[in-house]
Amino acid sequence: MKTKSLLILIALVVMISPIFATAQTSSGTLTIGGTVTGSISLIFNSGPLALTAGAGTNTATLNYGSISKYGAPPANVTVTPGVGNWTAAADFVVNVTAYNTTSTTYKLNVTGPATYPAGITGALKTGATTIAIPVAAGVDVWGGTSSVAAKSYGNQTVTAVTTITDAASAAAFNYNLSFLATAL
Amino acid sequence: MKKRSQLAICILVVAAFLLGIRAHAQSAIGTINANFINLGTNTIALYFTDGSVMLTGSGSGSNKPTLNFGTISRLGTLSTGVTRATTAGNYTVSATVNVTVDSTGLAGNRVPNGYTLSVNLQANPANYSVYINNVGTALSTATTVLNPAPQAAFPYNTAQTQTIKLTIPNASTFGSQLNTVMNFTATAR
Repeated sequence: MKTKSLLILIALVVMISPIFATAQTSSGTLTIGGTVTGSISLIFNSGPLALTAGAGTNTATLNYGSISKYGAPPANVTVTPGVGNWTAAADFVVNVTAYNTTSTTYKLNVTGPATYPAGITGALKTGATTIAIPVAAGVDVWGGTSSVAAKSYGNQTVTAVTTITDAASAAAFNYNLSFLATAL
Repeated sequence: MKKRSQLAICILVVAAFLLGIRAHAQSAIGTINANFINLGTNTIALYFTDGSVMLTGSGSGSNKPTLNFGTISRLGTLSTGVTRATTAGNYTVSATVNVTVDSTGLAGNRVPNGYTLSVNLQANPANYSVYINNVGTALSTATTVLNPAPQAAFPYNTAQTQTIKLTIPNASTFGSQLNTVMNFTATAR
């Protein structure tokens, strides 16, 4: 009788033990997918003349302050008298940064306003080259069709040059330039 | 001689059970067969459902779906349900997925104990990192237990939202589509 009980006990242990020995698990796999594309950013930073608004952003204001053909120019503004006109110039910084791309250079295209104020025209100078910015049309300042080679990413100092005719009204003026950087 | 016979019977019975030969069980063992039946259905089931992004592949409700972040970039527009945060040297994109573990097949009164959930990567990605549920350390092929606190367990039959975050260095370049397989394992407590 004892042996029979022992037999049943052994069998019971054998049968039940897997219940405790095996943890109940369940698994799944989650596949993560996506396509990473490169991108570039363009912001303006101050040069010697502090930007009056928007430094570090892509919408900034460079204000020459009060300028005249022969009066003392504000600090960090250069005035150059000419025949029938004169220019005011100040440096600012264009920063183009690349992300997740193998591109090492970019071209910069700048579009002038639909119309300049009367007697006013704009240009940008990079190195020794001054490039007039046409109204309502883009021009490559560097890279692309420009005579200036494409630039590496990072900070590039550019001079904003405004030509003012002698006949222009003595009044405040402003105009917008639109910058477009394209990875090459 | 009698003892030897009993021993032989004992060995045979044990061997029969080990081999799963249940059909030959005697009446005393018939009761034990019920335990085998229970054991066969003593399971839990893990599946994924849509979080912030609609799952593709085998889709919501399956245990092998795909969470597609779509087109990812530091500055461009992201897919609906994908968010982004930027730091100086890198950026992150995040999306959520729901994980549910069904206790319907779990035998015994173990449902209140909940389950533990662990995850690891099938392979380590070369040029980005994968995080889950804002765990401080990037996931790897090593197993990470996701339970919110030591000894804590997730409840069954309730969707647990997990945030999948990818950290992408600005300098990383990608010649092909990003692809990572995450293995989830739920273990009953």
